[in-house]
Amino acid sequence: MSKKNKYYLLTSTANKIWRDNDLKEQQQMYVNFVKEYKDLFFRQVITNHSKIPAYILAEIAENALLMSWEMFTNAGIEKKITIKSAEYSGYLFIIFKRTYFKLLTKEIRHSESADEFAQSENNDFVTLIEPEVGSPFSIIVQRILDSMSPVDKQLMIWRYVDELTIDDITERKSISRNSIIKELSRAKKKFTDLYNELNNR
Amino acid sequence: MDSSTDNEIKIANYFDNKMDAAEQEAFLQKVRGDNLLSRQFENELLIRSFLYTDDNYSSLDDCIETSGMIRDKGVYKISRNLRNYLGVAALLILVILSVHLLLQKKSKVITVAQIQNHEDTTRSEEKAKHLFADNNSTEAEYKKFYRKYTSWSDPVEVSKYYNDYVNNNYLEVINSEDSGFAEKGLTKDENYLMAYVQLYKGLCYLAEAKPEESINRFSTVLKISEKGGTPYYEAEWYSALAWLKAGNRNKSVEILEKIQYSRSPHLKDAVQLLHELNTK
Repeated sequence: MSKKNKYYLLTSTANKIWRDNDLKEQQQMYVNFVKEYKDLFFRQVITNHSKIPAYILAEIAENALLMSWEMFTNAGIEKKITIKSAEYSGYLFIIFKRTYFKLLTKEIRHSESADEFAQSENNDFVTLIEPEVGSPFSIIVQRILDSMSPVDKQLMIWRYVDELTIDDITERKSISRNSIIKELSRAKKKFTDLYNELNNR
Repeated sequence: MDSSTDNEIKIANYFDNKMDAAEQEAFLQKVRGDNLLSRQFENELLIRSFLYTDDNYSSLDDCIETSGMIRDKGVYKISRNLRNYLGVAALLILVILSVHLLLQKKSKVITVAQIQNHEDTTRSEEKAKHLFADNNSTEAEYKKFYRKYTSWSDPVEVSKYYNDYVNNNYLEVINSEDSGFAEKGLTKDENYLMAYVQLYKGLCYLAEAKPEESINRFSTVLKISEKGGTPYYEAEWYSALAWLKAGNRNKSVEILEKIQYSRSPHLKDAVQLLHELNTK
């Protein structure tokens, strides 16, 4: 990597460019960042998916990269972030990864709804996509959650709605990390089985 | 420990950022080659897709917050609760606004009828109305999907136009010479650069709420630029939005239907917008 390229990957450079709000330098920073890290970032998130074609996955990654760069830059300009490491790439990767998986899961949900629509002989698919009144979930998801035991339901909510890490949950429940993973795994299986059952799969 | 549980641990570690770059790459390689792991990974994504609520999706900015890099967890949780309250408040405002808009629409109908009775609309206005409106209000969709164009890879020869556009100096761009970039010396095909200039001008007209002029500019871009290039895809998408802004839903749908079968970077937005327009 040339010295010039490296310069644009440094946190100190980013801070200076944000402080000066220099658009051309921001562009240069992005160009150098993409050259150095885009492929590496993509290799760390993209994998095959049975329902989403590879080119859509690549497009999602491209969109996620642009969105996360924009969020990162805006937060930098507004002085909302403090990066302790010499290079900002690690920080940016976390944002990118989360953005990518949020966009991907949105795509998966869309694809699932379309599948249900195509397979349904009556209007059952509506139950899948229509939101339950007073609930943030669709009717079918709410029904599945209500069929689960309170412990399993709580685990699923913590992990996927509140987006807690396994360590966060371990702290809350005061049991070992592996036990939490096993409990969660069982809860996930119940969720999937109920989902398949309700959809006659 | 059985391989299924072992996989669950790996998946949890991957999503909780407990792997370094090399481990993440190796993990995804394994997902590609291991059927059981692949199924478990896809199942994880499926569950996430069902349990992520609109709040999870609408707050992509959370990506910065929840990474635990700006604020401590306590503040984050407070801000999350606050967001829930704000969500309820936003919903209430939305309901009030909808009622207000309905009432406004009703009064608008009366106003239009009165104007028509007076027969004081000029011929050109009528022509414009005929061309740019098909009685379907499309302003809401336009507002929802319109986002300012940004790029980091446009040609440097036309950066003056781009910078003026980005800095909201729309009139500067609109009034500038179409071939102003030539003063800087041509390094690329003239049509290629001209396509960008016309694109910026179209974008500026659109930002100035002059969709008719912007459509003309975008149409030039579509004629002179290479199919599949940035100016082409951008002109295609923004002309769909411009037709919406002008109130012509059918024209917009026509363009969006083309986009949905292309490799446009706006494909997803186009499909979504199309769905909204078709279900309206």
